[in-house]
Amino acid sequence: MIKTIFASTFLSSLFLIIQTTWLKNGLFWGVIPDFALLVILWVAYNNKESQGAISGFLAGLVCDTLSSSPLGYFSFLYVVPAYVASLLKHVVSMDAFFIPVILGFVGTVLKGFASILLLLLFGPKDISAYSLGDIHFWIEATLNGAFAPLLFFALGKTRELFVTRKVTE
Amino acid sequence: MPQKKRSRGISATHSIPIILLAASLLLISISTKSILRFPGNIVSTITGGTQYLFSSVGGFVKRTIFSIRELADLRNQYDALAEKLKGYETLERDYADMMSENERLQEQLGFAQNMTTIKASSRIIAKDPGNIFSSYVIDKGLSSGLGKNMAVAAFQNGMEGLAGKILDVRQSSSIVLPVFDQRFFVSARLSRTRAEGLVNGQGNPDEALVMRYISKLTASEIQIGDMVVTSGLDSIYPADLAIGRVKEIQLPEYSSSAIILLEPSLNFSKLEYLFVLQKDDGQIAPAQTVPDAKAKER
Repeated sequence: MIKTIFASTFLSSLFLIIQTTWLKNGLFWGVIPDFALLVILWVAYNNKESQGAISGFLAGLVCDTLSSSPLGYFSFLYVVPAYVASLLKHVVSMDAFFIPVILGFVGTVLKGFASILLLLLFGPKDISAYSLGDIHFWIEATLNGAFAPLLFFALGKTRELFVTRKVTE
Repeated sequence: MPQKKRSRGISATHSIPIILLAASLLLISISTKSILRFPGNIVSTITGGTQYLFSSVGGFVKRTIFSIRELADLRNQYDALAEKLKGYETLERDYADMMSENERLQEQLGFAQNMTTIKASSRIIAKDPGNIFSSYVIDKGLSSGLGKNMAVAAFQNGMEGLAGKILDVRQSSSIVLPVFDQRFFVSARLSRTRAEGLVNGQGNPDEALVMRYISKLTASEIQIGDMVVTSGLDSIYPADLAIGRVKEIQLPEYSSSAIILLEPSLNFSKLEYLFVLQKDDGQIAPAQTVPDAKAKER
């Protein structure tokens, strides 16, 4: 479990740093896709315990230090979709295309709602939030949905690193 | 027995994310009150260094790939520039004459030297990882003498404009909060009418800046295209740095003051270099004026 959390947090953090440097000008219309979120969603969906939520929390802390956000902000934003993804595995089974797209899109929307919740709780002085009426938010959700099948496929090839196997398995 | 095991697993699945969410909220409430600075600084120093490394590696690869094509372009440019240089040599002599004449005229008119002093010139090496917050990471930090809340400007199209302020400083990098961020506020005045107000952003570089607290009576004198500059009344920003131009004037019925929308003077999508400014606190000036005063007395 620790190996899974460490590996997924490391990969998410690596993606976060790439997002701030190589992708700093955005990929499409100045919008940066959230690869770190996709890693967290995949780990949350494919593990039987709370590895996704824990790695989401830790990657969120890394993201907070890279961003001008207050510490704990992105942790909250990543734990919420990770938690929902860990519940979804009991409802739907993964396929190669449609479920990853839906997971990437819905995960981003959940992240948006979580940011609005934080804005309502802590006020606009320190907190910024997604605007659901902003086209950039929906572009990010679409980009995350579009990149999810590819990234999930790649993560599936390195499953040993990111999925904890039960002793009984 | 198997049922017991399942219920234990489900409860852990629920409880750990809830604990983590609570921990996130606790962290936000602590960090917004700026209590957790020390551990945050350590981690941010490490992440800042990593960002710098990634930016350098990316820059190196990019430069290497494009260097061959650049060499051919440079040769053509060199030939063209050599021709131009001949013309500029003559212009330079004229320019030097005009500069000395301008200096003499400035002295005669009693113009004060520009209060703005550049503390450091820096390059943008990273931006915010997501699309919610808007910040820039520059390659200068504590080691270059930078501090929190220092004003940051940029030169674009021959104009010095306010870009933002330093939000957080690390050893070799700093986080800059841009003018268009909704958490950014600056005391400003209209260059022509000298009316004062407060400018803040709306969170998006494509959206207009908002200037508030201008009375409706004063607003009638404002024209579209008027320049808005920093007033210098706060302790952070030097006076007369360009912020933007008046784009729209709104006179809401419910308020006694007007809302003025500004077109930012800088194009933030093209920013590459930023200049950190240190406001002249006026401590040097009195020391310089004492000998002047004595000389005058003599």
